[in-house]
Amino acid sequence: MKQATHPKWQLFTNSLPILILLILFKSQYNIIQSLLSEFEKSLWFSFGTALVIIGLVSFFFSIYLILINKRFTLIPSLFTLFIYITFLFIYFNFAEDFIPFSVPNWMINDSLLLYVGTFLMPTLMHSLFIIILHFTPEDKTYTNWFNFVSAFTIPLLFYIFFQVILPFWNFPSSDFSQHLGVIIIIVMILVFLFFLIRGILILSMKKSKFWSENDLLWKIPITIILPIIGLIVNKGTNMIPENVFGNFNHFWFFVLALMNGILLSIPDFKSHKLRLLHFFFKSLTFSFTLYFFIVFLPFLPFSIFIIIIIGLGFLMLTPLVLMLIHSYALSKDYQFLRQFYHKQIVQLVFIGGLILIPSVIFINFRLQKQTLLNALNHLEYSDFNVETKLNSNRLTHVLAELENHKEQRNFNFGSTNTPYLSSLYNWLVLDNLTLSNTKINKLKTVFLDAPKIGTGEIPNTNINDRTLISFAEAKSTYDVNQDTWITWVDLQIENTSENNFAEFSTKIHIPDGCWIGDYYLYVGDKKEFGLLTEKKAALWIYTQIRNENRDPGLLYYLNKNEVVLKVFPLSAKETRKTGIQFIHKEPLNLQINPFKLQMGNVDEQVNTPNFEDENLVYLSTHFKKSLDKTNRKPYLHFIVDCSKNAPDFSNLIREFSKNKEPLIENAKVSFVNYNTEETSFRDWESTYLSTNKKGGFFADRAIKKALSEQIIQPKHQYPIFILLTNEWFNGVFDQDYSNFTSGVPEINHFYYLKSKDSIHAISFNNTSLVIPIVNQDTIFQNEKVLVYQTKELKKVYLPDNNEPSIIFKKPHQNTHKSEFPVQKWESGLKAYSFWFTQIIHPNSKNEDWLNGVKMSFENHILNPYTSFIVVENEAQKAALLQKQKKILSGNKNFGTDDEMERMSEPRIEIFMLILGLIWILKNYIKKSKTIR
Amino acid sequence: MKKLPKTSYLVFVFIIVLAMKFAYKYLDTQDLNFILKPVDTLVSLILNSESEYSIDLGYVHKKNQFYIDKSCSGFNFMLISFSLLSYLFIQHIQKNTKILYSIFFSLILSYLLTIPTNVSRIVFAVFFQHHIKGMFPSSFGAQIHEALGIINYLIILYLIYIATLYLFTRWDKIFNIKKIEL
Repeated sequence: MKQATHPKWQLFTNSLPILILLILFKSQYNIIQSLLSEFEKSLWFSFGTALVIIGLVSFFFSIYLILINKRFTLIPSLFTLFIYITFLFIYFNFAEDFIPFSVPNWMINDSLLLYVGTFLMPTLMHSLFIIILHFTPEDKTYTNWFNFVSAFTIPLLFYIFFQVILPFWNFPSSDFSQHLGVIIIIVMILVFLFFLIRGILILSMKKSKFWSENDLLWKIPITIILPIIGLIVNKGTNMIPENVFGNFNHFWFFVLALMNGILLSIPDFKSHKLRLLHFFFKSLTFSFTLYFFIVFLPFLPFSIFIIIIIGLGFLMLTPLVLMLIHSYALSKDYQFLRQFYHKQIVQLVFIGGLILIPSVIFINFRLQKQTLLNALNHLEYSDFNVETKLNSNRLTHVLAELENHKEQRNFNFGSTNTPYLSSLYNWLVLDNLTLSNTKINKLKTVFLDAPKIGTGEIPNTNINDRTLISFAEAKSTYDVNQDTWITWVDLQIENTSENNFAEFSTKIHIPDGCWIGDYYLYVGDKKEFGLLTEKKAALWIYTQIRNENRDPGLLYYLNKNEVVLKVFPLSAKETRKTGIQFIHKEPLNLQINPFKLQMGNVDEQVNTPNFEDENLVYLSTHFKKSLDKTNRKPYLHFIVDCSKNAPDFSNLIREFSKNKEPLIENAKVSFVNYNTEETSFRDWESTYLSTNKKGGFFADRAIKKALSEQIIQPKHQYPIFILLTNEWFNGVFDQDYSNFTSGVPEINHFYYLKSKDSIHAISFNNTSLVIPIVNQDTIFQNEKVLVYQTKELKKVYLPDNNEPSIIFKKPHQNTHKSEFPVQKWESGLKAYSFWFTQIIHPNSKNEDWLNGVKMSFENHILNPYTSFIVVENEAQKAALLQKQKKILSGNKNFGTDDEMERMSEPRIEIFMLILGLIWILKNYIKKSKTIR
Repeated sequence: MKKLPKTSYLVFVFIIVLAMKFAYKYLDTQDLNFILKPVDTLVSLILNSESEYSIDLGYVHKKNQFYIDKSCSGFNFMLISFSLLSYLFIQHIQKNTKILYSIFFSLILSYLLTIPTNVSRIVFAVFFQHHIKGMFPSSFGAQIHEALGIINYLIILYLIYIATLYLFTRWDKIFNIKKIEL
């Protein structure tokens, strides 16, 4: 126990936590600093400086003690206790002033107040423990009842005071008496803890005769019964809400509590081999004891009040008591084993035992991440032709764990997550981001055939019914150097209702080859230009700001030809001004309801040349008019549900294909569970028999696979998709397939076949639109399309729509900045072909997504990876940029930065610092050896 | 010639190091090709990975997803190993002229040592990137990369230190020179 006075412990209990605390506070300060007044800034600065000074003094004093080989004794401990309690006292007095009401909640970390308690408590407890050790020399015997009676007198005194004296006491309500009250409470808590810990220390040192002879009498209750009762009570009782201190309901907590108790209660073995084994197991469960000790540390001072109120406060003291008993048992074993084994061996056994449980947790979390990533990549980022093999039991387990740790990431009262472990989980498994409920549900539906659950999004009723565009105007200029039109479309948006918080939202159709280069929104009288940011970060900030009723404007791609413009809020009858800059090669029509605008001057430019490079071709409207028209032949493509619970569709396929010879000549059949197996119509029966029914009906992937094949290799036939499933909504679909339909300009729908005579059309643009078909023949009527032959003699089919078209030729490889053309419009086209490559050739490479974001930033052109957002103030900008940094450094599925790595050598200053420290250490060791 | 105090040589070395560090600030990747080129050749050979030279990025290894530029040259290591070697020589050698020669010799030796050291550092880092990085949260990648670099440098500096001392004792035995405490 004397070991505890070694000054190195001060580094662990004082310097390290203070460093972490300072980092946490600094990151919070960076976000909100622009919203703080001078007084609040000076408050942050004063407390920060005070913490740095006391931290540094303590650090250098500990280093000094280590170098002169002295112990941390009574006086410094008393001093530390006094200084930190004073600091905490002043801090809590000013706690409310640190963050003013004007700072919105979403910018503040919920656990900020708790941090101070969590990170300063270790040093307080360490100092108190050294004081206790000073007053409890090991060479004396003690009568222990005095300590316990003293300790429990304090809650009793409090009880009497609150119940009997307080009601009759007429307080003069002054600041002085309040402060005095708090100081008395702090002193009483210290005295209580002093006697309690001293009592337990004497018990475990077996200095008290009776207790040492009958140690099972106290060991079993303290080490087995109390921890288990504690875990049970935490599950929730009539008086106590569920999981007050966090979720400790996993059966391993109970197993470890029992195991730990039994190990600590078993009497010490005489044989050193058995003792070593016993020591190993005790080291193993020490991580369990340590965990609960840390979790409960910040609540320790409050235990006294819970003792007063419901008596269950004793349970809160259990981790502390267990920690003392466990540490003492280990230190005794260590002393004993040193007689038989080399010091290093005993230490190795201890460390091996201690890290075993954390290592298992670590490895388990990493494996879970792998399973989760595999599953997520399959949903969105794996090549359509690659099959995914997955253990569904393991995924069920991983998803259950994920939901356990979800909800609140920080340690809160009554939360469903497990303190620290959930944070570790979020860090190791989710890279500190979150996985949305929508994605979790999708995983369950795709892999486990779980029923679909609504996304939980509340439909926005504000849209367009109360807000409208009251004025729209396009101003175009032709940039001769760039051969490009630049058009500013200025809009006035009006809220016609009396609602003060109306949101304006509209979709704008933009033709192929038209890019967005800038965006603005008036905030008050100031024209604020949009910040180009990563899309998810911008959407997150927009939602947060919307909840706070501030002023954001947002512009982002919905699909390749549609952008969404959102402005919020519009107060009653308010008109706001906003505008978008378009960059286009030729004059175009733009429909923004109810206005039809002409962008560019048709008279000035009649003929726009086409543009072709190795990846794509841009065909102008004018050129398209000269193309030939053709009629392609349709064929049937059956998409058959082969999920876990799907019925047999053989008869339905046979019946439906009867008398449709021209349509089934080239027909195909895809058998779909979470993977897709495609076959020609000739072999469908044998393939159907050999396909396993498993998982859910992931029709989305099958449809995208078939549609992207049409883009990559256009043929003179086109598919008509017929879905066979018992209920179409059980399948997993995307909301919108517009990005994929450019290869099949003839069709706008796919079809769901319930029975031979019941068929429904589902729109590619919006899969929630399901329309029953009365006359089946209408499905197979085809319309004429334009045909264009590329330089490589590939025939491509295009819609006859009086708009320019972009033809995809070849996947676009990774692009570096230096390869970008000087012309802005062409840069936009390059970025487009890069993005489109990802759409039809999805892969799990994170760098592609990151490059997409970078391309947008470098060219300052909006693309589907990014958004334009106008925010109101600097604090929102800071929050947005921090969120963006987090997303850009995390995995795209959750919301790993695998970009090209620079092989930098270590910084010289850090290297020199380490060399210096080694030099000091070497001299110190040399010196201490000489002294000995 | 009057014998100069050893401190004056140490100050001389210190000034050289400072001047080199100052000059480094104004050098770009191209100027450091005298270190980068041999390093890149060896790295390409060991990893069987071809590199392309780009003016803004340096030597880009597309296959292994990394690039070697000014900050990866090992210039810092050259300065540190030059300081260490000069210090050891100044402490060991007595004659003025020999000390001056040894400082010059240290400079060449440190350049020759920097190349294999830097190659080993980069090869380890690439190995780390491919096999171990996934076990740590992505945000720690840079710190772990730096920590690995420091460990690599420390081990090699220690080996240089031991080897030099060993060579001194061998040298002294052969020429029967009195050993000097370091």
